[in-house]
Amino acid sequence: MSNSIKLTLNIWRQANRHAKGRFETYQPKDLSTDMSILEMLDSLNDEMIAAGKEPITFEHDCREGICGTCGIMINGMAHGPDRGTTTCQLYLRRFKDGDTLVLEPWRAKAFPVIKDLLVDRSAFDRIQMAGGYISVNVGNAPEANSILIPKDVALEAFDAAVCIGCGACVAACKNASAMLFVSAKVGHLSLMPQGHPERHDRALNMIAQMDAEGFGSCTNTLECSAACPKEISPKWIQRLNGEYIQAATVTRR
Amino acid sequence: MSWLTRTFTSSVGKKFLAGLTGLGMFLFLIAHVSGNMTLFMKTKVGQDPAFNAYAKKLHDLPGFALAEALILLAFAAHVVLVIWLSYTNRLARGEQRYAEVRSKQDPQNQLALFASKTTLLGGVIILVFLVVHMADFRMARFMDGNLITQAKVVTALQVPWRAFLYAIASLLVGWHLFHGIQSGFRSLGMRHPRYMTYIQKFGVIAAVLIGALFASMPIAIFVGFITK
Ligand code: HEM
Ligand code: SF4
Ligand code: FES
Repeated sequence: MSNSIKLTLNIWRQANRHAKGRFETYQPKDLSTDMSILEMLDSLNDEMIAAGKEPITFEHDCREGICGTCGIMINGMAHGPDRGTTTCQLYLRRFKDGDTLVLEPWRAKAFPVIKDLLVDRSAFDRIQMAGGYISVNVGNAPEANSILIPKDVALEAFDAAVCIGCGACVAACKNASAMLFVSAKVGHLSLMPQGHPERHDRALNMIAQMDAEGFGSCTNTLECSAACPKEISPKWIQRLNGEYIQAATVTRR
Repeated sequence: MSWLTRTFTSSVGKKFLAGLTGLGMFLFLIAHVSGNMTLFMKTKVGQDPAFNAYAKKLHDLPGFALAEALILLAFAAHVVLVIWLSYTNRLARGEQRYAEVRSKQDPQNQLALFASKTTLLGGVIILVFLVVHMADFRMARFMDGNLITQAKVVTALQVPWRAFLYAIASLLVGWHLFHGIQSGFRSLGMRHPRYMTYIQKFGVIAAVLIGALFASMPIAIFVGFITK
């Protein structure tokens, strides 16, 4: 097979949240350059199951870069070496025959390892629940065009709304800060008229939850944005800083 | 908790204050380095050096003591806040560190990345330097009430280790500001990409100038260009 490739994998194995983890080395058979990183792990797991060994646990769902579950630290880079790419979109053709790949889970106090490469990202859910929504009454959907939104504002908001909550920003940040994620969530809602009524509470509550979860703070190192598969700009963090101070000083509570 | 403590003990609030105090000190440094440039003015025989006249005028300014107190307060707040933030940032990674870490930023960002990773180290060295600096030039005024003079500055900085320490610390202040200025503006919530590029450029130029001008004094004294 002309497109076959041999790789050595150093993969983090950890039995559960409290167990001590360690790296194990694997040399999977029959790898093809057309496989994604996840397909490589599937294939390795098939081999391991056939041999009666414990397969490697990793998270995945859509396999097309939209669900945000598949984050893995690959050779020290969140989602691997390519910009604007999730782990599931990274193919073995990106590597050279004989390369060694180091696969580690996201590492953050707020993202505890559940097993092997799978981490618990429910801290993000709790941040979202603290304010990453707009309140609407149930019933008939309102007429879509009753609130006019300038096209450039809608596009700007969309730039932040594309965040898939993968956590690569936290994983790549030297402070394990969640500011890029939180700023994207606060940012797109605060730009839209529908998000305005809860704007101040949203900024205050989501930051409070972010701090309570044990994420770090931003030192404007900008590694988050380089690691973000959706290439969210760090300008959203600056916007959130301004939004927060504004909320803290003008909110009526 | 009152809104004041809640706001300014949050991560974003602490960063806001760290940025505000940092940029406040940056303004002070501009004034400080500009004034000290009088050391370079040639003194005519029989005349008092321009530096001495500047020192006298400066200390006679109304509100000088208040300004000094404010700078001290900003400094203390900056140090406490950034150490607090750095400590929580370290905890946030968790006990298990990465086996391998690599940057995904563009090559042209790597210098800025390095600067941002070394702010704490640089800051701590600046802190140690400032203890020496205060002992050298501030304590005397505290003890006998006499203003510092060009002669005293030159005598102190002719000592090789001191000249070396002052030059290195000056460059480190520049290095700290190389990251600090743009970071401070970001922490304050300056957001628009339209002016962020100017802030970045301004930050780099200002940092290089501050570092180079401060360092020029101990070097000029050491090589005998500035004399008593
Ligand atoms: C000459 C005195 C100083 C000046 C003018 C200065 C200036 C600044 C500025 C403008 C910032 C950016 C603030 C922000 O990002 O929000 C900053 C950050 C920082 N400073 Fe200072 N600083 C000084 C002294 C110190 C000292 C003594 C320390 C150490 C104890 C220190 C440690 C730090 C740290 C750790 C940061 C955070 C860097 C980051 O957010 O990436 N600084 N400083
Ligand atoms: S901001 Fe980017 S890196 Fe962070 S969670 Fe959203 S998509 Fe992932
Ligand atoms: S599996 Fe859904 S983004 Fe990768």
